[in-house]
Amino acid sequence: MTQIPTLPSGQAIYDMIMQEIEPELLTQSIPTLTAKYASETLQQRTERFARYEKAYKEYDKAYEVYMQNVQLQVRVYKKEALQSAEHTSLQKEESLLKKLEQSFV
Amino acid sequence: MNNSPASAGPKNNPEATPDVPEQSVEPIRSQEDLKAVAARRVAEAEEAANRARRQVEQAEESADAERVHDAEKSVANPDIQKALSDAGVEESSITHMLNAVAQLSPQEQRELLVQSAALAKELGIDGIKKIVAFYRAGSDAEKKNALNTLTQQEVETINRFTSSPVLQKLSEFTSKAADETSGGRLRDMLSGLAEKIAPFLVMLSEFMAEFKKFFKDIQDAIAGTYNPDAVPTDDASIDSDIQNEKHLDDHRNTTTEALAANEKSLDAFEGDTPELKQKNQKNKVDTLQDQVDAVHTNLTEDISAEDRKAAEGRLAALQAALKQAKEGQAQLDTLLTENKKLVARLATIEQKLGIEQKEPEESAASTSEQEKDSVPERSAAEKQYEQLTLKTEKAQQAYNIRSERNTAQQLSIALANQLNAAIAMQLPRESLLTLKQRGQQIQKAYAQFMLEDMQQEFDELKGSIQNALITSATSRLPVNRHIENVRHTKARLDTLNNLQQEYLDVAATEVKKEAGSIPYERVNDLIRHAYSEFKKLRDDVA
Repeated sequence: MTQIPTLPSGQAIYDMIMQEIEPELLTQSIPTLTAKYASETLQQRTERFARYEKAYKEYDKAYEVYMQNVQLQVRVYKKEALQSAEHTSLQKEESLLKKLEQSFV
Repeated sequence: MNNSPASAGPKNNPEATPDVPEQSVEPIRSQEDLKAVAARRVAEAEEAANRARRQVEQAEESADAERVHDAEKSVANPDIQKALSDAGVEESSITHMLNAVAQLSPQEQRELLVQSAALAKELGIDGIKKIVAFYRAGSDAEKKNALNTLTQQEVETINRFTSSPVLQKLSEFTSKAADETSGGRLRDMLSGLAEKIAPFLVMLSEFMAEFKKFFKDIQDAIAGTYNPDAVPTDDASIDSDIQNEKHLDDHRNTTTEALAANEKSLDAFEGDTPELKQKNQKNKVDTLQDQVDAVHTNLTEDISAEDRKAAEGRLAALQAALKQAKEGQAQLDTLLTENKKLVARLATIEQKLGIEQKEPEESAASTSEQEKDSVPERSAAEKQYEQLTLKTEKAQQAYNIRSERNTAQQLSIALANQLNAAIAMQLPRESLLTLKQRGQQIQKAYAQFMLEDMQQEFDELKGSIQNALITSATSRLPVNRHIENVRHTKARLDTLNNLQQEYLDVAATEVKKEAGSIPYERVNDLIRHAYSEFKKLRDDVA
């Protein structure tokens, strides 16, 4: 039986990809950054933001790959769902045979 | 196969080299810029996920259409259609059934029709003729005869179908369906398949209550506890009993008991009337929800680490209280629905018994007096055994449908509990032996599932170890590191192969023996040991 691809929310996708790149940019972490870096100098702040820009570049690349994979899974699912429907009767017969084999009562 | 998004992610797919052009990123100069950049990414991901969801839904719809088409072909069989028309199902019953089908969602309608068509096909013309014979039978004896002609295979097929959620839902609607909607308009709404299957569904719905009782008799006969005079405990059979004026005193007592227990549970909720109880509980949920929302809002703002910690603690406590209040709300709704059903049932029973309806308190008091005088107390052991038998039946049905490791485990536990209860009740030796044999056979099936799962996990781990080596070979690692990787890989694969040979292959040989002579304790030890070693290695690889 074809499994339905699991599609998480936008926030979950973002966090899942960003987790591997820059944990400070997770949706839960961003609001805490102001307090965390309250005493940093202007130079440090500029460097930090540059680091974030670099992280977003990496994120964009990883996101493209992720979405390509999602699309691939959806295409495979579409194809398999139709094929599976077309072969329903065949599968039913197979499952009946399996049940007979496994029957123990 | 894992279809979760994680498996599609870049981390888990090292071979999917990101062949993506470098993109420019919006400049980040402030915390606000950062929030906006993140929000845009989240929104973009949400939109893409929605698009993919729609595509999946479309694929499901196309597959559904294909299944309906397939089902239509299978019921177009002239023999089946003739048997259905020979049944002489009344036009009004068909309209009533179509009314009920129309109350299901489009997806449920398709599911029901496809399942019915599959059932008709599986039963074949002989099975359908038996259902037709039951429908046309006049007396109870004729009906019983018609049921007795069913083979074990047919019983299992029908039982699988009658346990499906969509049929349960249809049963609720068939008892409530209003006749005012015109049959003609309904038929325009429903597919041709609904029309072809409707007489079959009419017959099946009548067949159901009697069949469930019959099926229980079969199960009891297998377990050696068959009692043709037993008082049924499931809702459909109780209602059917009451309608046929059977076991009225028993049902009156159990309904009164259930009503008393239900009212005691309802007393735990504040308020004098059902409406007040529901209102109070709803207020409780709403207030807690508002408080949770307020803390959530507070947390999205820039606050100090100390305040954040305190707010998070408060949020956790409030969420726990909200969860509890919502559970209470759901429980209250269930109790009130059950209460209405029991009150109505008791009224019907008393009407049939010719007892004048009394005020609730008086009625309860007189029933409790009666209980003391006339109802023999059933022993706790009997009741427990009955409940365990029902549990085993459910587990058996789930296993018949899915035949997988978890259902085998549930069935194995249910059978073991039933066997223990049977031993405590000193049931006949034959019954104990039957239960024991069933338990041994399902344990064997369970052990086979465990072994298959383990073998698969081993193979998957070997695959990922080999893939890691390929990735290492194509990377620009220094030669000495690469040699080290090869050595590691070989050692890990050797360990896995040894574990498979020493434990899993030995366990597999034991499991091949006849059920009853398999040393399960040893097999479990072997599997457990292999798994603990395997887990260490897998964690190490990860």
